[in-house]
Amino acid sequence: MAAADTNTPAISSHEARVNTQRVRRNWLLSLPAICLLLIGASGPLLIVLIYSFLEPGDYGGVTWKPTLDAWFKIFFRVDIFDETVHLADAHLSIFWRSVKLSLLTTLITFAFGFPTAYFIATRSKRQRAAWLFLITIPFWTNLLIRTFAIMEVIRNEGIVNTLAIKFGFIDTPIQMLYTEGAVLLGMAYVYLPLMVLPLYASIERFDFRLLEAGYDLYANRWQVFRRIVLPLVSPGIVAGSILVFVPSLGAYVTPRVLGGGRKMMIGNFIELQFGQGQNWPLGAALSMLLLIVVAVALLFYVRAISGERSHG
Amino acid sequence: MAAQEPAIAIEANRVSKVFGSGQNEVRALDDVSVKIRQNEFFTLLGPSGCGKTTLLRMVAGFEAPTAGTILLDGEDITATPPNHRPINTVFQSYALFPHLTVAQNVAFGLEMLGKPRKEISDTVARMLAMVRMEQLANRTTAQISGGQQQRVALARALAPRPKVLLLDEPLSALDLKLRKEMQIELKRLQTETGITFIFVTHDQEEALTMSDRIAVMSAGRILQIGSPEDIYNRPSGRFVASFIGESNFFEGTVQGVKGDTAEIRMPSGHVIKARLGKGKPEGSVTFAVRPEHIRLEQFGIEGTIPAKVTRTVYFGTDTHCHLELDGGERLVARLQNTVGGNAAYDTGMRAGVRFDDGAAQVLID
Repeated sequence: MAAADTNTPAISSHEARVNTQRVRRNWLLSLPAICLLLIGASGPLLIVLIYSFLEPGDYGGVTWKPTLDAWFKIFFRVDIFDETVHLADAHLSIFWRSVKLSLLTTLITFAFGFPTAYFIATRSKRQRAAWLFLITIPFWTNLLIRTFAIMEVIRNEGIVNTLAIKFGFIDTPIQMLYTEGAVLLGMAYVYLPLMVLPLYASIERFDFRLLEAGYDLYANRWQVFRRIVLPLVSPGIVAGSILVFVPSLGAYVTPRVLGGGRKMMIGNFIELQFGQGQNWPLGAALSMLLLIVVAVALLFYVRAISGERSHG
Repeated sequence: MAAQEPAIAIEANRVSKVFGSGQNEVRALDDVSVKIRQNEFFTLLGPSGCGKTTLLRMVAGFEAPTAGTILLDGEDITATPPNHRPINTVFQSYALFPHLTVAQNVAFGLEMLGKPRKEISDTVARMLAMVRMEQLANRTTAQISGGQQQRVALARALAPRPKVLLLDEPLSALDLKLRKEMQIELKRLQTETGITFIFVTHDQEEALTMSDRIAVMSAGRILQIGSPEDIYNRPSGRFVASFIGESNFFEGTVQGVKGDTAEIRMPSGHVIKARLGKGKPEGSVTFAVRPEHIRLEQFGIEGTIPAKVTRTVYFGTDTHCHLELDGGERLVARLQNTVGGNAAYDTGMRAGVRFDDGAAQVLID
């Protein structure tokens, strides 16, 4: 027994020094990547941040006069006649719709993605490769084309409505296109692989012998799932949810095509400011706000999940 | 008579298990019946693929028998799912929950049974003390050594106080020294808790040192059930005799039977006395002699079989002396090494072989 108790790992000071040196060298190797990130990501972000505090130019662009106008306009509008200040409910409803649809997209992709990933991860090695290959096939076709394909399926003269009328289920076509449901369907379809792949990666690493240990220790199916499977595959759930939620929140193509002009999301609204709206500072401020919302949401989400894990 | 009979904890009644179908059909268990007593340290011993793990998994409830029934305390539990059987398992891989601490692992079964908090924490503390892991209660399972994981797995399986504890080759991942310590530890725990242990192993030494009774299995069948001494000294067949310990096998012809002893004439013409197992053999038979039950004497002494030493191998505690009888049979004798060494017999020397009384055992198959 004593022998087993004493074999805790110990790193000598020499080893530690060698490790530090290695870490330093590795840092040098990653310098090009760091430069690229600084210039490629932080630079544009800085420009967007600065623009959000400037006045709009007459035909797009900005005038170099510092103001908080753009940030004010996100949340409030001033009545043209009596100059009273009101909440900008049109903007807020776009925000709310974006958050709601993104959360729903995440939930739906999880609900469909988890069983899919579980199924693939429990196949034989060769079958797994084949299934994963199938999952990636949609990526071969341009997103726009795929979105138009969905449009073809659900529009009033589309496949679903035509068939439903032909077989007498309905008399007049159901309006599916240009609804929030259409946007949700499109986003869930587009982002499903992004949920399946990280879920698969963590389910594949899951030791299925733990299931038997759970049943052996009087856990029922639900308890085994809740107490053993879920906490152990949570890295995959976190990764999948982030990969789906973040791009959903900024989605542009899908709400544009399937939501029409009516069911706008933040992405479309931002584009509007840089295009027809010709209000670059407002667009910049909206972009920054989106970034902040995502960052805060992620922070809370990751903390909540990791907290749950450490408490079992 | 019935009152004297020890109570039966687990009974497998004519159990068979077939995996696959058609040409790929594998008969993992073939009409196996066994009764395991309460408070017994019972070992299923056999080579890999003999069906011992399948039988254990059936008792745990992870496998359903193709035919036959499993009884716990006389009640049929064949269709009871594992989470409703008061039986716990120490898995070969330990299968500790990596996201939980040592203490949380031990508490898991009790929590699932819905025990009150106070009782859980008391039991966990007691279990951790029992396996001497109280210091590491808050470590995660990745932060402890293999031997410690093994003890956590034991504590976790014992915590809900199962009626039967199943151990699936739990020592195979440990190094030799630790394995020896755990053998003693396991036996101590079994005695202290009074729980029926069913232990699966392919290691004959483990089986011999720990078990009250052993069932030797091969190809989906139980060949012999008995105490370690029974199994070792009175193997029923060639497989048991060669799988447990080492044996020399000889052919001979039965000349006469007196009680449970047979006189057998060897091809060289020498007649030896051998114990009988079940049945009354006639004609030609096989008998087995353990290497340590063979005595070497000087060549030509009355009653010995003349032989020639072909090779000697030094093993530390003893020396293995390879011999060839004048009848052509080859055998190995194990000679205890003394302080003065064991140089009495060397390659090429002539010697007389004598079997100790009761050393030869007639085999059935």
